[in-house]
Amino acid sequence: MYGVGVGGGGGGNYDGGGGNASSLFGGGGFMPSQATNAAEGTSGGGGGFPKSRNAQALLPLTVKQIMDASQTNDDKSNFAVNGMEVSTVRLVGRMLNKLDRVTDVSFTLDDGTGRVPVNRWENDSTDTKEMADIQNGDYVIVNGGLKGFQGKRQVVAYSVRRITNFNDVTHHFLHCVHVHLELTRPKSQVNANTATGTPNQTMPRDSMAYNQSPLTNQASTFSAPQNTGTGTNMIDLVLNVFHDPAVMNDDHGVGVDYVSRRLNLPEETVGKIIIDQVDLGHLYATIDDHHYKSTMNG
Amino acid sequence: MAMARLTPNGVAAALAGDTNLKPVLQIVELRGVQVNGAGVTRGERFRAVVSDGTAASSALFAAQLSDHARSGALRRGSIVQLSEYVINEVGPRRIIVILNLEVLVSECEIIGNPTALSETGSPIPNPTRVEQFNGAPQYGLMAGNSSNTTTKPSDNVPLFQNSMAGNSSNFATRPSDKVPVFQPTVQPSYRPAPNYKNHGAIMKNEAPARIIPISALNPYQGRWAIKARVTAKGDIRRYHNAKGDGKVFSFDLLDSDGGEIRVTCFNALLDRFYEVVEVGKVYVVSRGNLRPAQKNYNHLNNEWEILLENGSTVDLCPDENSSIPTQRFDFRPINEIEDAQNNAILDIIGVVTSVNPCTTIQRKNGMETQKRTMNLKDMSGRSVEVTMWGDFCNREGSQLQGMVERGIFPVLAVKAGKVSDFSGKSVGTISSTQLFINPDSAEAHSLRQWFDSGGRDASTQSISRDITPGASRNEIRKTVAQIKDEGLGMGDKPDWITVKATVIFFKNESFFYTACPNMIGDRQCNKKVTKSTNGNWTCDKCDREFEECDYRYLLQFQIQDHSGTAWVTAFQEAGQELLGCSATELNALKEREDPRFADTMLNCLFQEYLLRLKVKEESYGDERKVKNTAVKVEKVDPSGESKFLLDLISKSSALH
Repeated sequence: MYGVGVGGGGGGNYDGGGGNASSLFGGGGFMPSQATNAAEGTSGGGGGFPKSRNAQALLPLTVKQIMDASQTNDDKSNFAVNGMEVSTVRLVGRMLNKLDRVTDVSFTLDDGTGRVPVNRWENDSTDTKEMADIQNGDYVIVNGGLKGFQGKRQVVAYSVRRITNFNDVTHHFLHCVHVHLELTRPKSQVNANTATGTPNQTMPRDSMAYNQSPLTNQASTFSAPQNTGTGTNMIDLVLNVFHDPAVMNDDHGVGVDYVSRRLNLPEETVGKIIIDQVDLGHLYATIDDHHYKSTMNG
Repeated sequence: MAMARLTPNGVAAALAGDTNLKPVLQIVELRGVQVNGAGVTRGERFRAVVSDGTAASSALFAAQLSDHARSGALRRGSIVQLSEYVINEVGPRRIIVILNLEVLVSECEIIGNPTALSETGSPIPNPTRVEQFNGAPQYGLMAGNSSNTTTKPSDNVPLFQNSMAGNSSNFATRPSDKVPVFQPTVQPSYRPAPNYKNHGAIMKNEAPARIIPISALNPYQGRWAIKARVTAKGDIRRYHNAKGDGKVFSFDLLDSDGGEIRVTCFNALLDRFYEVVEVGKVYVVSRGNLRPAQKNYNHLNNEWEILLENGSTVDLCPDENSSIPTQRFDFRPINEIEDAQNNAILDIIGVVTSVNPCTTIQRKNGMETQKRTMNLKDMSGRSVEVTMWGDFCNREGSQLQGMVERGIFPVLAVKAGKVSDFSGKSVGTISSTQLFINPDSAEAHSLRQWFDSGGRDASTQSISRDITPGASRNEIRKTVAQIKDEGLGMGDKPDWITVKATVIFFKNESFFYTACPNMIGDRQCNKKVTKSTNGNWTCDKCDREFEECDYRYLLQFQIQDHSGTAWVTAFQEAGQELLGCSATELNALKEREDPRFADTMLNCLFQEYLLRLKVKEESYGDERKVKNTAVKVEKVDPSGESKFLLDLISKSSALH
């Protein structure tokens, strides 16, 4: 039983703009007025996710995986992790900075690998009861949709539940590791495992086989950035420093010398990359012209 | 003349205690005798009369030689060489117990004059014979007391049943070339008491105890000794019976031939020997009383056990470490335990892969005891759960747990574990079980090498019940995408799989159907009923109307995992497992527009479950679709599932 004296409840969608409503349906959820014409075998949720090119999936993730997620198109509203487009995510961490409003509750989730803002819109009394039961510092399981808006990442929660069995924390991180290994396994071995695993009925084996089409699209998406060669790699290295939770949580940001020491790269090279990223809008100056932070959730 | 020459005076010398002579003798009489112990027939033994051509003596064959006698290799007239024998002292009489012999001639004519022996019985020796035994003149005089011959079968039974017979009427015969005629010589032999006493003292001095193998021990020997290592020493146990309070302890012995026997001491003898005996040391044990082994407590490979008594000795033997092994095992591979009988006692050896914490169990008699389980695996590709009871939990159990937690996986030998078939096969400790951590044996070294060079990650199948619920032996774990990618459900039979997934959506407007409540025998009809115009419910199958109908789940919902999304149907049992209430109750909430209706369903959304699915392709008109039906739904247990994931992760890491 979840919570003492609390009815609990799952995620709920909210009515908003046409675009938001369309994208939110992709995460599924409880809709009393759901149309009955959805055929078996197809994804639920009304019209579905227009831009989705593979099956809907629910990925257990860490905050760091979310921050490292690459953007899949120019409007920066979709993300890919391990080559899989992210729609619904599951996170486990501590609730911080809880802020109650009439229409929604927002908080920061910190799972030890990073922090991410979470928003929970309240549609009915069950949602309100669920959120009222949880306080700052509590460990929670969050299921929701990953959204990007103006370069920042956030999770719109469908379900937030307080953890009472702390084995759930361990289980979640192990599940993240397992799914990561599954999704990053070389394709040839996937086929081999599929072939060898099926006849062996007594051995539980997970072999991940997924649609080829999205991979092709992902590859074509990645091909353009690869033209820059080593420059892209170094840019990623520099940006990863700014994505470090310690750096993200420092209001003053860090300077060129810090990044240079950390990456063991020349200050001149690092400085040039930082100036370029400021022009692109990925970094911004803080207390002076020598300290910078990432615009991502900055 | 025979090919083999009989040893002159062989019989007399053997009876005098010379156990290294190895005399060549002829069997002049051979007969089977039924041996009874504790009211149970223990098999046929063979008794004989052996001759050196001049004198003859009774002889008994050890159990291991019975087959020779039974098969005819040994028979009347055989000439044999006694390579190993001891002298049994039965009151005033002496018998040669033959432990080992070699048949030189299978059959030939009787040498000398033994024919007269069997025909004339026991003759009275003449004076010249007395002179020949000038060292023991009373011995000759004893012959005069004999009133029966050894050829009478009925007189032999007391010989074997009562080794303390002081005045046995049987006596070894003495063949003679002439019948004595001097009547006056007979008269002095009618004073038995003083001669008997002198006789006993003399014989003891002439026959010191001889060390024999444990396997040769039997209740019919007089003086014996064994040299063996103590392999186990039990605790002092106190008891109360009709005779009053008492205490007892036992220790097990193992000699250089691999023979094992248990030794038990009561009361005063416990006080005398308990501190003397130490496990691992070698002792000479002599002059105990043999009784049948109590198999309920004693699982050693011996039909006898030793009860020490006042005249017994247990003497330490230093510097005796080379020839006597430390321990004797009869290991079975773990895969053979699957076929072992319940309650079988056996030895196993394996690598300890996990040790669970100690728990306290309340037995049926109200007493508390401790229990700890661990898992062993070996090269047979199997693992088994071993349960430790009582003191084993804190003694070996704590040590093993500490080692496993530090990443050391010790080899463990279990001697005399008991097989249990409760929830698969497992092995438990009993009072006589012994546990050896990292024993110094060839099997242990082989296991260590196997484990360190790949066995650690080898896939083993447990023959015990599955500890990790999510990794049940009978379950095939799949992802949602695999249902489609692997074409599950397309064959003649449905595919049964287990999926770990999150429920993300319910069709809530119709989640049940109206069912026929009629009971046919002990089963409900459950066919769909329709409402008739008069408000009653009609069942076409039963052809009846009912005022009330039953509500049963027909739940449609979507599940999602990291690989995809799928629709699932759940009927009554799985629906109840998922939602936690019956369809009747849920429908009542809905019709009353009770907020708990929504709460009940929302409670299950975005929860993770293990769903057991039946996947089968079905036809709907011209269209064929694969349908997933949930037959069992359970909440994910994070602890068990974590263990399962760790196993998968270690396998995945090996592939990268």
